[in-house]
Amino acid sequence: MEAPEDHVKIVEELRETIGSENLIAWKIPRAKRIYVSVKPEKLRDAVKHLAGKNFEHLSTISCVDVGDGIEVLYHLTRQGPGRGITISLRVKTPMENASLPTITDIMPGAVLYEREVHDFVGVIFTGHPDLSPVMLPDKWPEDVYPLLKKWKIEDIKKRLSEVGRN
Amino acid sequence: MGLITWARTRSPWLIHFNASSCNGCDIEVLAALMPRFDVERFGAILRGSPRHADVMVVTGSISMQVKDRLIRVYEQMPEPKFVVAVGACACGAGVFQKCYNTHDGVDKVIPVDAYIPGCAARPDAILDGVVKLLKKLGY
Amino acid sequence: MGETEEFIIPIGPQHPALKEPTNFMIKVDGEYVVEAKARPGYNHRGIEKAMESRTYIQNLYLLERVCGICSICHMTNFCLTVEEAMDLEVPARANYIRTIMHEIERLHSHSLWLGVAAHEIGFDTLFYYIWRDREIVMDLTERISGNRVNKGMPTIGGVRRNISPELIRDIRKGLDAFEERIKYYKSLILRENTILNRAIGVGILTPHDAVALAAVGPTLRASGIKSDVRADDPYLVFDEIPFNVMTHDGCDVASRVIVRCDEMLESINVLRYCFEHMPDGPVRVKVPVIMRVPEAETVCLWEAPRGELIHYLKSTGGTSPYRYKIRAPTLANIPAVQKMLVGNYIADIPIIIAAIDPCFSCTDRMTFVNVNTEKSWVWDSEQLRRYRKKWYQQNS
Repeated sequence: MEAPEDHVKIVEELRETIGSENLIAWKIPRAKRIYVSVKPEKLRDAVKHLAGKNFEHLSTISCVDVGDGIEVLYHLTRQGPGRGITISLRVKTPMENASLPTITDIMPGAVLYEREVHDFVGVIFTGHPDLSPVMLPDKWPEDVYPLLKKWKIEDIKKRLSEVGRN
Repeated sequence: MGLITWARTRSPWLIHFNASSCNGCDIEVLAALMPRFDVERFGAILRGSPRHADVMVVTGSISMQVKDRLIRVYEQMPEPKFVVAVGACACGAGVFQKCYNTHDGVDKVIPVDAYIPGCAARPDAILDGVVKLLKKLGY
Repeated sequence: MGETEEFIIPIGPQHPALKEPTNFMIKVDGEYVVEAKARPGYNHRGIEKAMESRTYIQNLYLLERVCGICSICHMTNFCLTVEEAMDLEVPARANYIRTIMHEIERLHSHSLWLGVAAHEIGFDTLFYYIWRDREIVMDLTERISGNRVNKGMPTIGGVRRNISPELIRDIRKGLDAFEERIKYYKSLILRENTILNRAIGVGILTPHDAVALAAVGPTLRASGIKSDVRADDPYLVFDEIPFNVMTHDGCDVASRVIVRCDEMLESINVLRYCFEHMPDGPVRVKVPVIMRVPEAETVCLWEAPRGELIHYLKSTGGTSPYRYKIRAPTLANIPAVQKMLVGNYIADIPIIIAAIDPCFSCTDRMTFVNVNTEKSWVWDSEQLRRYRKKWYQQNS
C-alpha cells in the first residue's frame, strides 16, 4: 500500500527535529496509522514536536515485554486539521533498571498512564510526581510486575499466597 | 411464625455491594428496582448503610483490593443477615477463572445463602432469587 | 492546629447504579474543594494478562465482560483489531448490523446515565421515569441479540445473527417512542429550575484543560471541542453515514447533560439511516475456532458512549495475542474530573463525578481533609447525598 504523502511528511518533519540517527525505524501500515521508533534520549523532544503539530491528544501509553527489553508505545492522536491520524511513538528500554523520562510536564494527561506502565512492567518514569500503584491493589508485593513474561499467572497466585495476600 | 420473623420477611432491607463487577449485574439489580420489575412490591428497599440491612446483594469477582472491604461490611451487618450472590462471577468465578486478581466466588470469602446465576443475571431472575430466599426464611 | 481524627465509615455503594468502586481523597477548605485525588483500581481483574493465555475466540467472550454497559464496544473493537491484523474482509451487512448494535448500546448507556444523573441531582422521580423508558431499548436489544446485557452479537468475521425486516419494523416503532420520550426529557431539563441550579456553572472544565488532560467523549465535547472518533477516524460504516458531532460550549455539568441528550437523538438518526441503506447479503465469514493471527501490530480506536476507547494488539503468529492493551474511556477522564472538582462545593461532588459517566462507582468511599484544621473524615455516598440535600435546602 502506498503511504499517503501527508503521513510521510509527518515522519520527515519529526526526523528533521530529532535527527536521523535518533529515528530508528518507521512504518505506515495503512491510512491514519503511523509507527515510529525513536531513541529514549529523544523521547521528550519527539513528544514536544508532535504536540506542536496538533498531535495533542494522548490516547494511552502501552507497554510490551519483548524479551530483550521493554517497548513503551505512546499513542498520540491529531485533533486539529488533518485530524484522525494516530501516531504510535515507540521507545525501548533494557530489562534491568528500566527507566524513561516523564512527559507529564508536556502532557499532563500522561500522569495515570505512566503509573499504569510502572505497575505492570516496572518502568520508572523519572520526574513523575507520584508513581504509587494505580491499577494494582495497595498490598501488592513489590517485586511482582504482572505483565512481564517471566511471571505466569500460577506463579503470581503462588507468590500472593506466600505473602499472605490471598 | 412470630411477629419479628413476619416483619423481617415482609420487609427485607437490602444493601448492594459491588465487589469488582463489570457492572452488568449491577445495572440489572438496579433495573429490578425500577417500575418494570419492581422488587419493592416485596417490601425490599435498598439502604445505604450495612447497619440497617438484612440482606446483602453481592456482584462481581472480588479483587484483592475489595476483599477486605467486603468482609468488613459483612461484619457490620446485624444478625440475622443473609447474603445473595448475583451473577456468574459471584457464584463461581464466571469468565474470570485463572485471573490473578480474582477469587472464585463470594462463598470463598463470606457465607452465601442464595445464588442467582446468569451473566448478567436478569432482573426477573433476581426477583425470583429474592423471593426464594424470603420463602426459605418463612415468608 | 486541630487533631486529625479519622472515622472509617462503612462503605457500600448504596446506590445501585454503582458501577465499580473507587476511592477519592478530597481536601476541603470550609465548604469548598481544594484538591481531589482518585484512586482507581478496585476493579482490576488482570484481564490483559489472562488474554495472553486464551485463544482469540475465548478472548472475545472475556472482553465482552470488561464492562457490562459497553460490552458491544469492547467486543466489536476486538473484532476490528483482530480482523485488521488478519487482513480479513467482513461482509457489508455485518458492518451495518454492528453499527446498529453500537448505536443501540449508546442509547441504553446514555439513558442509564441520565437516570443516574437525575438521582445524583436529587430528582428520583425523573430517575424512575427514565429507567422505565429505557426498557424500550432493553427490549429491542433482547429481541435482536437474545440478551439484555451481554449481547454476544459480534464475532471475528461478522455478526452471529441476522436482523429480519419484521424486526426492523418493530425496532423503528420502538425508536419512535423512545425518541419522543428523550425529547420530552431534554425539554424538561432545559426548563426545570431545580435541575438547572445544580448543573449550570458546576464542574467547569475549560477547553484548554480538556485537551491538556486528554479528556474524551461527551466530557470533551461539552467543553466545545469537536472531536469524535466516528467522524475523525471512521470505523464500521461511519465513513458513509452523514452524522453530526454534538458539542456544547458551557463546559459545565449542564452541558454534559445536553450533549448526551443530543447524542441520543443523533444516534436515532444514524439507526434510521442504517435501516434504509443496509445491503442484503451474508452476515459472517467463517474463521477457524482456533485461529492463528499473523505477525502484526494494530491499533483501533472506537467511540464508546463514555468516550474514546483504544485497543492495541501485538501478535507474533500464535493462537493467543502476544500482548493486548485496552484503555477504557473513564481512565482518560480521571485527571479531568480531579481538575473539575476544585473550587466547587462539597455538595456538588456527586453530580460532578457522575457527569463524566464514570464506569466506576466513585462514591464508594471518600476521604475528606480540611486543610485549615487538618481534620479528616470519611464519608460514604449516602452521607454525601444527605449533606447535599441539606445544603441545597439551606442555600437555595
